Amino acid sequence: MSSSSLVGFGDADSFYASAETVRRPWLAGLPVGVLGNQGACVIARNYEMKKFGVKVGEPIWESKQKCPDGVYVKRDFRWYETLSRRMLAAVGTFSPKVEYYSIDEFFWEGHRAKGQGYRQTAHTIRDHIKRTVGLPMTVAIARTRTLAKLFADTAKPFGAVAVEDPDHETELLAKLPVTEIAGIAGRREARLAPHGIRTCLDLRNASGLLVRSLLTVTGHDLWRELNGYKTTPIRPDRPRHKMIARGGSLAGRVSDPNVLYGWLVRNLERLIEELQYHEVRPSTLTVALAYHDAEPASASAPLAVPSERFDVLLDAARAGLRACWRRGRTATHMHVIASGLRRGPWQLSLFDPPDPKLDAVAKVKREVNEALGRWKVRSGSTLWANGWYDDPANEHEVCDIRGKFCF
Amino acid sequence: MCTGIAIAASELPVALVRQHRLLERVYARAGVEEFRFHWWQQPTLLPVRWDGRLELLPWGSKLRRGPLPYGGWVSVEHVAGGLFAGAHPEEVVIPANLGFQKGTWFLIVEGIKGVVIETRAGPVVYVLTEPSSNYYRNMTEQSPAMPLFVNQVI
Repeated sequence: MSSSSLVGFGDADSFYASAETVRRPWLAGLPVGVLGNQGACVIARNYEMKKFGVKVGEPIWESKQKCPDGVYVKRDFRWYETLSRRMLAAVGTFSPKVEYYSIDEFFWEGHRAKGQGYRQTAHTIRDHIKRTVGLPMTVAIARTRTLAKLFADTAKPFGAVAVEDPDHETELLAKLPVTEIAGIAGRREARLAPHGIRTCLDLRNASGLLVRSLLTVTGHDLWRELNGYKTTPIRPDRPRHKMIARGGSLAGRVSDPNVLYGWLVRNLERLIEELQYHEVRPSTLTVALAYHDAEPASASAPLAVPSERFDVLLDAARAGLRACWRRGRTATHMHVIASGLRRGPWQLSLFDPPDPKLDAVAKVKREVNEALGRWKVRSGSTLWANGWYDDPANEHEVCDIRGKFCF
Repeated sequence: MCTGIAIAASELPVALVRQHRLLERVYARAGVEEFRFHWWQQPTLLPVRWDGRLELLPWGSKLRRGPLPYGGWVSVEHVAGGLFAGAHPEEVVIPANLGFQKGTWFLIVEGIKGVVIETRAGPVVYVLTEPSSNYYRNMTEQSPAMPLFVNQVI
């Protein structure tokens, strides 16, 4: 990216709720809330519902008091991924370098559309996304990623802005509290306040050394971005994973060790699927459990040799679960994390002798699932978490959407 | 359970609206008109796709000592077990855009299933139910039963 070019940023407005309206146009204008996989919390809502004061993360029993006519919809990540990729492709028609930052956010190398200024270009991209994908998106073009994201947030919903003029930049930054910058809140905000740093402009005008001492290198990078220096380039390809994790909520509070074991195996099967896709093998496996009524616990087990074999990883995962299981306590979340990822070619080892029988079983399992759908063949231990498999919405989670940098 | 449904105003034929004086049941949700059919309304009606037609039928029975089961809902298990044997039970689709239970309006993709039975006074429809999924229970303040959805898992 040339240092003089600008950065474009697009963020779909109320993405999940807007995505539901794309396939059900009759929802347009109605207050819509999207519920998480438990049906208990609002994970997204549109602007019509937001007007009633409904917040993301709020339990439904509170949100329906605020918005009695609100319409609640179940999340569907397959559909959201379809639209997300359509947006990615549409943005790609305006720039050779696009970064798939999250399911609904994209950065790109900002180029003027033919015969247009940056502001017009922002409008053109926004309108193109609306026309071709059906989604409202806010588009901002600025000198750096941080500035573009900040200005997009101020232009929502369905905004299109380009901030090239330094005076305009200064004017906007002066109006924005420093907490508008992703990553600055709570303790970091408290560290800045004694130095009179309350707005984004205060942070931009502060001494770089001071910012580095208060917010470490990460904060210093943000400070540089606010001052117009690009610290992170546009990344069209996601760098290789340093670790891969699978897990999440246990669909309620779980104290039965058999049910926990069912979830362990489910998460492990999902993890192995991902390891195979990326062609990596971990050298350490960690199991982490969060409890409703106890401190979180985690345990790591090193593997004798990096492996993606079910039996090898299950032995390690079982040991991890045993170490972090608390008798009589109720767990709410579990993660299985593969780290120390190694790429081939693989060296044979005495500790990991080839097992043609197991390899053949794994191959058949993979091929059947590829042909007939995920989890058509799965470990019998997952029967303990069986209800989860009855619902096709649980087959595809946000973390199953590959290639993006974050959620 | 599901104590009410809503259907877009455009989905009900004008003749049906006139015949059953449905204009009293028109509500505007954020300015968009829809017909609502709640259990508490009198007369208690539900739209039903039956014999290739859209009709409005009486919904269940509010008579505690009548010949019909009290309420507007029957479990699919009971129906399969012969609850309405002799009353010519017939499975039907209740078209709806939204369902209502304990203050929650939730999306219905195609409709929910019902069962129409013959009575001396004419056909009556009941909503078919099954035990709630964890999701439905959470969404509807622990309702133990949920309607049978058409091509939809909740």
